[in-house]
Amino acid sequence: MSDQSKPNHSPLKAGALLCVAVAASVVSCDYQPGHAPVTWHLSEATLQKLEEGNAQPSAAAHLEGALGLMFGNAQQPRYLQTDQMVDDDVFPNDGGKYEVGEDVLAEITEHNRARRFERQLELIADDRFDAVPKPLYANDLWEAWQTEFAPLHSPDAGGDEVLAAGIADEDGEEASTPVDPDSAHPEPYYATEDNAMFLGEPSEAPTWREEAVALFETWYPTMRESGEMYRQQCLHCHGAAGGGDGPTAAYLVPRPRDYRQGKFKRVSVDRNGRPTREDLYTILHEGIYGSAMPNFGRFSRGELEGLVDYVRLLSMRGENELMLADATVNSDYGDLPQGEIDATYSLVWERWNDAPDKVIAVPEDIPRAEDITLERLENGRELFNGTVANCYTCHGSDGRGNGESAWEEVAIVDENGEDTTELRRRLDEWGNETLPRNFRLGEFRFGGRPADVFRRIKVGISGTIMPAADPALTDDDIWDLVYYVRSIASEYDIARVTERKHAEIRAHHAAEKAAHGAHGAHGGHGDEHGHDAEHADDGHGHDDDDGHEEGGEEAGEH
Amino acid sequence: MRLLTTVLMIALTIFGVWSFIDHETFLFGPNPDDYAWWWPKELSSIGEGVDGLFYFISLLILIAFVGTMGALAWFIWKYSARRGDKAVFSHGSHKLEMIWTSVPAVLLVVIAVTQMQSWAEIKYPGAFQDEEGNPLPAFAEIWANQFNWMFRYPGEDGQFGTADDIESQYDMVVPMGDTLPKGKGVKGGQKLVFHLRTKDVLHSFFVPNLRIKQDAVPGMTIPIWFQVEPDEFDEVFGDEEDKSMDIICTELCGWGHYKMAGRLRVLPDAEFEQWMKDQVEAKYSSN
Repeated sequence: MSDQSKPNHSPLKAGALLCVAVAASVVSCDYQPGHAPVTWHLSEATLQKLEEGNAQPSAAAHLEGALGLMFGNAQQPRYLQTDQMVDDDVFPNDGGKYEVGEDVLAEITEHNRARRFERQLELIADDRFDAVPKPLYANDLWEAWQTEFAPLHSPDAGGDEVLAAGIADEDGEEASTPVDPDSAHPEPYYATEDNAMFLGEPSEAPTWREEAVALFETWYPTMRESGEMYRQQCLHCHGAAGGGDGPTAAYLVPRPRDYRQGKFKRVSVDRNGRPTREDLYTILHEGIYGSAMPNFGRFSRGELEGLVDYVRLLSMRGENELMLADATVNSDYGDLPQGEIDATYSLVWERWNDAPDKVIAVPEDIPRAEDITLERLENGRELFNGTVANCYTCHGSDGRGNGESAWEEVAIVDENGEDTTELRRRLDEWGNETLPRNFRLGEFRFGGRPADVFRRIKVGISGTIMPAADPALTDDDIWDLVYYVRSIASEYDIARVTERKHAEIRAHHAAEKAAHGAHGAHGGHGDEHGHDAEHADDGHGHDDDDGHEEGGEEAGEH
Repeated sequence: MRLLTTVLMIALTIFGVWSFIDHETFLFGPNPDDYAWWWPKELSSIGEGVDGLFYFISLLILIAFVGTMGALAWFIWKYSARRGDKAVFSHGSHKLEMIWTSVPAVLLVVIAVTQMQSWAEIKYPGAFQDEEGNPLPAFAEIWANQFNWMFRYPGEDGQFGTADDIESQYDMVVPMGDTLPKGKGVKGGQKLVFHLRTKDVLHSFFVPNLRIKQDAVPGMTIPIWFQVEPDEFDEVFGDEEDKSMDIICTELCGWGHYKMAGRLRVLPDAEFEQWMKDQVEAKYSSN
């Protein structure tokens, strides 16, 4: 209305609108996704269990409080350090900082130097301390840089005044002038042997610059920093508390892992064992091929080790949650039994930290692809379809993952109200449908290396109906199975060994023929052999086993 | 108001030209030293051609941008509403319409002709054949899936999909070809052909440093090739510690598109041999 009556004012309005739009876009630029409020909460399953178990109304709050005591909250994740841990010199809140080996520490430092903080270190070397950009996720590191190194880069930024004052006293200078980066640091820490992450040879008196370089090079993420990274990289599938219930989880097959059971599939440990640090690192670094879990190779070793720490914390928290919920329901008065908390916490902590003792040893002499003979593949095929290994019942006799044991008959009521049964896929321990691997795809989610497949056959897959191998199977049998399932995706593999066998047969016949030729008689006989050799070329094996193996190819031709 | 709007238009034009020419100020995050104008520094045999086209087209757009924005500002100044003005009916100008139709048409033809050389060099079937016209074998397969790059090397038997394949997640490693002879007019380096495949949806393989970009289409095996020039490689990376190049997906392939990254490392031939041996060792390691 006003537009019509006062047309001259419309450019003003347009200008005002433009200003509002610009202001809105500037404000929206300030949006920090990492600061979205994300909290840990009890899982739906736990709440349901408490309700069905007739727990006290306050039980859920008590349980959440106990978990908070043990693991902190999403903004301030930390382990409870028990007296036992203090006695044992265990410092769980340092994560893997003291757990990982020297070679891993060296890799972390190398990645920090050459990849993660390359730009920061370059600017420090150029004396451009003010221009050092904030690295992603490393909030605590950034805080240290801003405060402890304030005298170096921006003396008026209100950093650590005590420290700055101390320097003023020593150097006799005003605290507001930047310190000389090549003067000795009054209280060196990062570039010294006291810092467990520092692998270099500490100089007598580290300078400010050496300290600053060491700060970045020896970075190992804190739990808070890893939590921040988890929220930006992992949360949207795995959920804030690791329940596999993030916003994108619903669109995925297979579903993202729910950490609460503490069970992982791609592990090197015993069935149902907790994964080692290396296992979790491998999953992060290699991804799970054939699922939506990508490889995170673009992150440095330090960042990934930090994520390992955080996933371990979420898993232990989830396990405690499940166990304490059970204890609550089973208690006489329907509330959290106080004595239970300590025991559960210690039990879960031990389970996780005993993992390295439970690694399944794979025999050293792994047969190589080029050593696999047709006989071994054939043996693998027979085992696959035999009753000892029993693979075919789930994976199907042709390896397409369509065996009938992955299904079960479930009693249902149909639309007419009559009792009947329906075939449904069996569910695994996470409540997801069992999808036996289709070997025709040539994908091995839990690692495609022979040793990985060996472990999966030998001990099975946690949380699923894939069992451990029958003790009657020897290691050689398992290797045959490994190479057989690997070959299902590749007709060529079978053809290759067949060809080698045929070459042997041809050589054998040639030798025989030569022997006959030497006798100078039975020419006709020699021809017959020649015919046989040709026959072998066509793909008809000499013994039944071969013929059977090549049946598929032959059928295609005729 | 008229003055304000006109000044705003001119300011926008100047800002546009400035942001276009002074790319360093507008590179948020990455180190400007790693960049040529608007691009990471190039080191492949096709790089100069692609960059030449990019800069040529950019220049055309710059001229068009300044021209249209200038005209807009002038029109705002000249024809903004004034008290007492009367509207005038104009049927238009045939001559003007002819000009603004034919000039872009001619420019498009010019662009079409200039790009032919580069396009043929990169995409024509001849690029994937040796001198006798036999197809060049694939050095490796590049597999895209949501949200992962996997690189599969054929192993000793030279066949893909067999038990001795080497599969590498994230890391694409290729030999530099520095032991190959440099001929007349040949800058050295090895021409490598790759087969690009995808398991699920459309992806796009892009190595900005190499100026190579190709969609991966489900059901299709699409060959791509590149040749890193050792001299240019040394020039670009010098004594930098991290001599790897980014591989990214440039087709919005799903919610995890931003995670889909890889790394291309070009190693001297001897180091590549060693890397391959290490991969074989790792494959048969029992850990």
